Amino acid sequence: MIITQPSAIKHILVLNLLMRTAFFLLKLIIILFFLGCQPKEFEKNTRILITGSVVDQNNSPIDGASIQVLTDDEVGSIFNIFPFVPTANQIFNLASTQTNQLGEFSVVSLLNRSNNFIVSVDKDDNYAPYLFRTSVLDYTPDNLTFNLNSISLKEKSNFDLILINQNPSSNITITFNYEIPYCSEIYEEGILQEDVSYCYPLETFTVSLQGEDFSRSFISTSGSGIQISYSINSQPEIVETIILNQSENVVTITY
Amino acid sequence: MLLPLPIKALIVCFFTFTCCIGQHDIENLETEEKPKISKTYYSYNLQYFVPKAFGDNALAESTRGTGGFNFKLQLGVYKGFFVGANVGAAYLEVTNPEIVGNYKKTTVRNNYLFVGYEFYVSEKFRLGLSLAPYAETTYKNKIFDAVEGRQFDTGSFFSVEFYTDYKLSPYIAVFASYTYRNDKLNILAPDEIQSQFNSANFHYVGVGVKLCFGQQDLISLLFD
Repeated sequence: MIITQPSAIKHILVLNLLMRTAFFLLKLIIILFFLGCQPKEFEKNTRILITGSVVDQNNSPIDGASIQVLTDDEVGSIFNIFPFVPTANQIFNLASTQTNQLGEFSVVSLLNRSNNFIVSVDKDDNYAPYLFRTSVLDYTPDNLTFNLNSISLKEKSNFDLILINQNPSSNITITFNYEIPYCSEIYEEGILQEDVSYCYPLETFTVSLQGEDFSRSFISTSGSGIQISYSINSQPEIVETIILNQSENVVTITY
Repeated sequence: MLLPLPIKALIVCFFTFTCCIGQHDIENLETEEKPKISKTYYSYNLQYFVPKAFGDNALAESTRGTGGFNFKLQLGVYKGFFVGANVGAAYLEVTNPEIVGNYKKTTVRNNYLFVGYEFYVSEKFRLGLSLAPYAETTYKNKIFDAVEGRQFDTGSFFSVEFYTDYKLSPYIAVFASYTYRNDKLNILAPDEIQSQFNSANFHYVGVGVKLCFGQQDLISLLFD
């Protein structure tokens, strides 16, 4: 005859309940994990066309520029309720092509309903890249076509700033703006949003030195002007304008 | 499987029915005298084929067929006339993604009901023709990027198949076939390229094995 204490029965029941709950939670986590692994599904029965042309600063067509159609979405999972679980980026390359001899391109793409639909135009390291960004979550372009028209890629240009000190007690303050070789245009339902777009933005550089040499390389856009303002030993400011008309430019100032 | 409910129901009924009569037939095989040449009461066909898209359309210009399979049930209705159900898929590799979009592989569903007629040209050779006048299809396009993606195109098609089979025994035959398939697709595309996405055409050239059972067609069986 087995005599079981009432408290022991209670313990067994509680343990049983705990184990059932743990198994249920484990199953739930496994199901959610596999649901999270489902492949992304793009718009059914739909193709879009991305067209345009690419030219340089002189309006000459650029042959062989690389065009890529991407979507880049930040995605989370059920586990992002925990702050230590990072979100991931889902990047899809939906289409890619190159410009022809006339600088023209036309490529067919699937439509991924994304908040970050990107057309990237890139020639090589000698040209500044261009990005067309828009949201296609709820927006479908007319005739299912994104016509980027004529995209002008500026050539990159390097310049070296060299400051040579000849008197240890001398000081210099120098400041200038230069164009960053990068253009990102953001469109909303086909309309350019200039306030949030960055097309060849200006970067300001300032440095103050005393009794030391300095050199630094910058990358900007060919043909752009740089207005350098500098003051030596708190003397009146000197302003010089330099046009970056070569692939390598050097600015040397002695103080 | 994206098939309308009535078609699914028909396929299920057909499979069930042929399995039931198949059981009846197997039981009878042991007692009945082996037939010289049997009229096929029903058959199971397993087929491998090579698909080729052709014509003036986007699929023909951008894909290469890598293979396909069909599993077919065929039931003799009256004399040489038969009906059947087919389940299968054709596999395509995208060779020019600039035309259709940047995906790597396409699986074309090949599920349909068909009618046809077959006759013996000699003791062991038989010729047949079958027609699927209307069926719905799905193209599953797979993208293998950093993350897997997929996209579906849908449409409808009709297909015509010619085949010849050779009986190795009263119950086993091998066959070769040619299928012409014409798809009407539901794809929406810009006006300039819409005509490229309206349709697709395929040649399927295949070989297969056929397991044949029974000696009488269905109507004869029912009224004898």
